[in-house]
Amino acid sequence: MSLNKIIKRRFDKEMAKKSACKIMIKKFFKNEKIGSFGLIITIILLIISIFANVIAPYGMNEADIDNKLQSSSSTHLFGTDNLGRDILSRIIYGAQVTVVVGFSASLLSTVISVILGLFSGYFGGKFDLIIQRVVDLMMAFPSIILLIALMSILGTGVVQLIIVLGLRSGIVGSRLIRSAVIDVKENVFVDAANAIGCSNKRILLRHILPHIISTIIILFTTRVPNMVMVEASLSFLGFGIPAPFPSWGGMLSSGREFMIKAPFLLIWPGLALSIVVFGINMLGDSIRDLIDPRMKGIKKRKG
Amino acid sequence: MQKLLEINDLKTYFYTEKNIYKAVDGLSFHVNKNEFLGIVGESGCGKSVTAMSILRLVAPPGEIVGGEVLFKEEDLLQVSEERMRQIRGNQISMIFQEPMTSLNPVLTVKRQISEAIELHRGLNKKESKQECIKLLRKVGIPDPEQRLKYYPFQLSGGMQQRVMIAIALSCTPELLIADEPTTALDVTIQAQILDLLAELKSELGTSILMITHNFGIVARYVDRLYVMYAGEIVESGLTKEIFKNPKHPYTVALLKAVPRLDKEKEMNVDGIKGNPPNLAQLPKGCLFAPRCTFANEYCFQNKPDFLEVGIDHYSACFKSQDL
Amino acid sequence: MVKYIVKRLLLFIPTLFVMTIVIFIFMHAIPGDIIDALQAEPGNEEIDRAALEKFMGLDVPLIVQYGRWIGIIRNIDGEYKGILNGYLGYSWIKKVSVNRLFRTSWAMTLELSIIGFVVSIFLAIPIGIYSATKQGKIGDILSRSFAIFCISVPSFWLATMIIVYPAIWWGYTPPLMVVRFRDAPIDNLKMFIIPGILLGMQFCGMIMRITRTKMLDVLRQDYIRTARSKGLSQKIILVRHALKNALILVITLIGQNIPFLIGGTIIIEEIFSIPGMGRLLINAFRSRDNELTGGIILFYTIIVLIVNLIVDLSYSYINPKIRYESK
Repeated sequence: MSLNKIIKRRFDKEMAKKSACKIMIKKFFKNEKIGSFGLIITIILLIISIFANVIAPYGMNEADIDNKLQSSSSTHLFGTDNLGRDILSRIIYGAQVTVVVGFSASLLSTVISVILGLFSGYFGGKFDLIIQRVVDLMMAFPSIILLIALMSILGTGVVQLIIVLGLRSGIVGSRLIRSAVIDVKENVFVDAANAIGCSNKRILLRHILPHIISTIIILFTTRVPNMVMVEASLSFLGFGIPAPFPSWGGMLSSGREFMIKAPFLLIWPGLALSIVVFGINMLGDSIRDLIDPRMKGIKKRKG
Repeated sequence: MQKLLEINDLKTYFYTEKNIYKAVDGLSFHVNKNEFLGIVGESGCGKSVTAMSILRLVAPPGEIVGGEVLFKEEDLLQVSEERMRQIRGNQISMIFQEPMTSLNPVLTVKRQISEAIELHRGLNKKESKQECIKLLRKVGIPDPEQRLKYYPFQLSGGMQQRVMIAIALSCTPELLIADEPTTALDVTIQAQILDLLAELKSELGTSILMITHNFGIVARYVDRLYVMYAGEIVESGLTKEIFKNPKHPYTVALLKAVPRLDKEKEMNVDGIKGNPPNLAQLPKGCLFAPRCTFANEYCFQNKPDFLEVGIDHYSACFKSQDL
Repeated sequence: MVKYIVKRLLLFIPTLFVMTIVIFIFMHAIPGDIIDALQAEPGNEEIDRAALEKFMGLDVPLIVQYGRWIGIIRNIDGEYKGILNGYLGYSWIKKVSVNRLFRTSWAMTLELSIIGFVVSIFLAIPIGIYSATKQGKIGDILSRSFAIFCISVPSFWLATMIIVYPAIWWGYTPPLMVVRFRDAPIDNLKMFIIPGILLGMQFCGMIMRITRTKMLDVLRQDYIRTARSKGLSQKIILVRHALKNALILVITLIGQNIPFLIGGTIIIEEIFSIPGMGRLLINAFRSRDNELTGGIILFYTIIVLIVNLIVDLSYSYINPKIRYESK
């Protein structure tokens, strides 16, 4: 084949990929109405969390004791809590916390899962056996107990929280990546690559990784709402985000003390949590629907 | 010869987001009483879809959009679903290609056979159990009383298919549709199963509509044959006649592609160049023209009619005289 | 099947053993010196640290402490007083044996878990199946939305709202009085029903989705097509052919998700002030009561292992491939 033809083919392929992406995005908004809704919620959440300092009318711990426990007013849209802090501002800063912790923990978790899953699935052997037993035990054990125990050992702190959440979730999630890797490994082309002398690293990176991208994305999208919920639960119990940072879960917990007098203390954090988790879940579902069936084309070993 | 089943102008399309796949587009054929009929063709030519359409088992996104399926004067495409359920498994039954996946893994053999019996023949548990034993014996399964309690995974492929046959024949249907019944089986077992089918046909008087892509099977067991291509019938006639005198280029090519024991060893087995057409974008003119060695300009522009080319021998080709 | 059961039971023991080691490490990894805590208590200032250590058995190497905790090494009184003898430890903070503290708590947690589980399953599986049969139609969409609602709305929020608003609107408080089942079964159930439902909410949503997916998978199978070709009605196909196959797929996933349900009891107990293991655990963590913590975590571990065992055994029973290993 002439060089020109090869170049043209490559170019056409690239253009096809780009327009395929555009088409996919357009299709997404047309077909996945709920997913689009979820996307919008997620984007709003991200914007709020990034620009929290600018948007929030008051500081996150700006106390105004004289005006404590007031319901919605013109100066405090969502009211004030028992220390006179503006709830709206705390919700906004709480969004920041949610995003930072939620996304970082998910990212950490996904990275750990991929590394563990790749090694476990590709190399197998004793390493694989041991890791899988550990995963079994971790999956069998109620995560919240494990997380509380770890937080007790490491002490409270945002970094510790992210590490603990990411670690547990990462180890457990490695199983998904591992099965995907094993699926791909069974394909003949991996044997072929081996036969022509590709190093393991090369095989992992250039042959296996591209095929498990969809699984990785799916893993990440399921992790995020999960991390948000778990962080909220931990903060609710007092083992999560420490003061001074506001967390929606923590706000719910402290609000309980005054719940009869000031029920609005409970509404806003809970509503925020529900909407955010719902939105991210919807987005994740839609992304999964789009990616999964398309990528399920890898044929089993035939030869 | 009395007509048992008559299909007229059947159209079954598959609807996806972007396309309409015309799997079966204006198909007409018939099945006589007590005959072993065959439909041959490549994978994807619509044979299975036709079979499923007869029993109205086509699943979405497929839909039967037109035509008639006359079973003893009743148009199966017009009757109620309830009536269809009376006919399925009872007057018309079907066996499928993969016996392992076609049998329910969590139900015993007895359950799966007695279901149809209890439903259509109204027998009670004890009577149907006896019937099951009789049926298993008839299909050649040794030690039937024990086998009744087995689960499908405990049986070999050949046995599974025999069980499927037992299920299909349990209510002495007038028509048995066999969709590639032996494709998934070992060659040695294939012959056994087909012999069994032929035997049961003569014993019970059931007509068999066999769908296959294997000309060897056709040659040996099938009385009358339809050759299908891209959702249409291109040739029909008695098997002996078609083998001796194929009158359609596709049939000619198919026959050439079958390795023969009576020819010299060095002879090349010819494949058929090209691919079957995209069912969503069928070409104008004769559907086989792009792959036909005899085609000319006229063939690409016009669709040939299905015409008589011999006694009970029909073909859809402008060039049938030249073959 | 017997082979499978024996294999499973044999796996139980080493797993439990490994878990005890892990738990023991945890117990001693939690920072906070128990001696300092004890010495801080009124009236204890003069007590000699070394004597206290000896008394509490903290002066011996960790391995020995572990052995004593398990009950394979004698303690300072020369007795075997460990887990293998049914003795779960002593809470130095509460000055009472762990067994004592467990007495009513474990039943509370158990009952809460069971109610949550039963309510969830009874809702989730039928709705999941219904959803699968009506794929794409309005029934499916509503069911799926309900499932997503269940997993998105934090149960602790809903629980709190349910306690707050009826109190504000109608002056109603859910029965918070602790009543034992033996004493007054109806009142006891009344006490547990709302917490139980809330506990099971998220679990219910998860199982609903799983059931739907697996049911859809099953309905796509060849044997369903065969069943239809026999002329069977949709109802019979669903119940006789599809259901069991779907359940086999669902059971292991239910088992995998049960730890989540058990973990949820901690939050629900906290909100509804139910004196179960969860509250005990939180307090133990907060007060650095390591022995109590260890005992409670051991309890949860055993529960989880037993549940896993039950799930595995059920699975091996319903799945003919395992029940009747190749003859």
